[in-house]
Amino acid sequence: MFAKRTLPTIIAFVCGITVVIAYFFNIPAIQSLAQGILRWQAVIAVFALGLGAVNIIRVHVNNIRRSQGTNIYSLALLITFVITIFVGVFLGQNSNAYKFIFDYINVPTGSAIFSLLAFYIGTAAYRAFRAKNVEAAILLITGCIVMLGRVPIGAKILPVSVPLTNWIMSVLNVGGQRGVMIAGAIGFIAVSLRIIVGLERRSYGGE
Amino acid sequence: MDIFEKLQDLDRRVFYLLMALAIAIPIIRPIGLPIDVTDPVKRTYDFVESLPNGSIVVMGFDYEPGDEIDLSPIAQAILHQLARKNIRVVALASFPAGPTFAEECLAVLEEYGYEYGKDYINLGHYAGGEPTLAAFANNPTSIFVRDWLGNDVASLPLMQEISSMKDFSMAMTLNDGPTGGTGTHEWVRQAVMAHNVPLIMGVTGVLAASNETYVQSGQCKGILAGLRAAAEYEQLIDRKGIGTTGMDAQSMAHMLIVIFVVLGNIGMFLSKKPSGRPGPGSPSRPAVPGGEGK
Repeated sequence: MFAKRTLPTIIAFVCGITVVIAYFFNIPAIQSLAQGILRWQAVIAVFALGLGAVNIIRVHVNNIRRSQGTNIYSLALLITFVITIFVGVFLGQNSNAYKFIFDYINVPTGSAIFSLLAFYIGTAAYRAFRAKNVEAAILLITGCIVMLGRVPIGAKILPVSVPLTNWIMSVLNVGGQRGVMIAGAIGFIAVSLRIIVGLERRSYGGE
Repeated sequence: MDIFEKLQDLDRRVFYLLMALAIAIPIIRPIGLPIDVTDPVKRTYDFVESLPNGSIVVMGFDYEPGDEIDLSPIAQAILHQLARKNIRVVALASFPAGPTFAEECLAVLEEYGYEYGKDYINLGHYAGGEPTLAAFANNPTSIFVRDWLGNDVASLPLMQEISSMKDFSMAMTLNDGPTGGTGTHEWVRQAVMAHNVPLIMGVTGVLAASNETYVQSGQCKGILAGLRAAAEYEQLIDRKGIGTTGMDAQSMAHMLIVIFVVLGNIGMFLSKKPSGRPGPGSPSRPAVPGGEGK
């Protein structure tokens, strides 16, 4: 109980309070302690990356075992995972092999996945933007104006789309975003305080 | 099925084909649509111009491969402007892919005779997001002992001029969102609020909406959103690149979507099904006179 609950709560409390005090007050001893805590956090984050890597291997090894070798996606992931780690660790991140993987596999596949949005969002917009009622009509008109106002051809076809887009983005959008951000920030403060004082049990692995 | 009903339900493969053509053709044969420079981009350019010559800026390459096409052109355009003012650059990245993008973009500086370690540095990747950025802001060498090339960071001449975030004349984040890396909100907190260092952002198009708030509040001195901003910046620095060529394709893609949306709505308004399906509008108030029960 002490190791699972009380000790993590004490650590979170001390670390949280120290960093908060260091942000607001310039006390050298607290500043130094807070800087040490932040550096520790960076080290722990690196270990978390390693933990994530081990977890990925476990999950996909289990997938392959369960499917008796027919799960080619997990197999492909593990093979590329091992190759990339080998190249990165033993040949270095500035090696030609690493750059080849990055430039000719990592970047093109990442961009390809992202570029599919143009197709999916396009068809989704075509099917969803229907003026079935007033709200849908407002959404449709706003969406079309912003789509046109954001590209050069829009300014040529419908010049008014540019100032209208700027107005939508800087007035309507910012008003809504501010509300969301302020509400989110207040919620974030509340949750942070609950974690620091140990009331947020889920943060410590509890229910 | 009449033509108007068909307009409402065109085969998505037709759309995919047309979209592929709309993007590919302008890239192969650019149309050269004129690009007007908008106020947010001009403001950002003017702000960078106002920085003291020879000062040092920090740039966060906080994006992954999927967003490279939006953000690398912005980074390169800004770097050209910084180099013309002899401003030195320290780069770091909160995503593992970031240092490689930084390396590719920082190559721009070599055109201007910049020397690694003296005029620019690629510090590499840091894990841990905002707390690590906070630690970097307080003491950069406490987080980066070795740079991306494996050099001892403390021994590099440029880093000897930097003891905290306050030594930078500007911070910039090229950012594709907070998932997995350091987001724009974190940069506002750690650069602007904690150290009062002016911040500019290069973000993907979709992030423009949420970050516009910081521009209006004055916490962000300028925002460059998506490929469009890169294209405009290329106009300002008078150096055309991928941003400019990409805008024709983006124009055509947006245009195609708008055309399809309009066609779908025309089809919906004009279609009349024998089954008596109401036209547009709520069931109690059919928008097509006599549409109900026909």
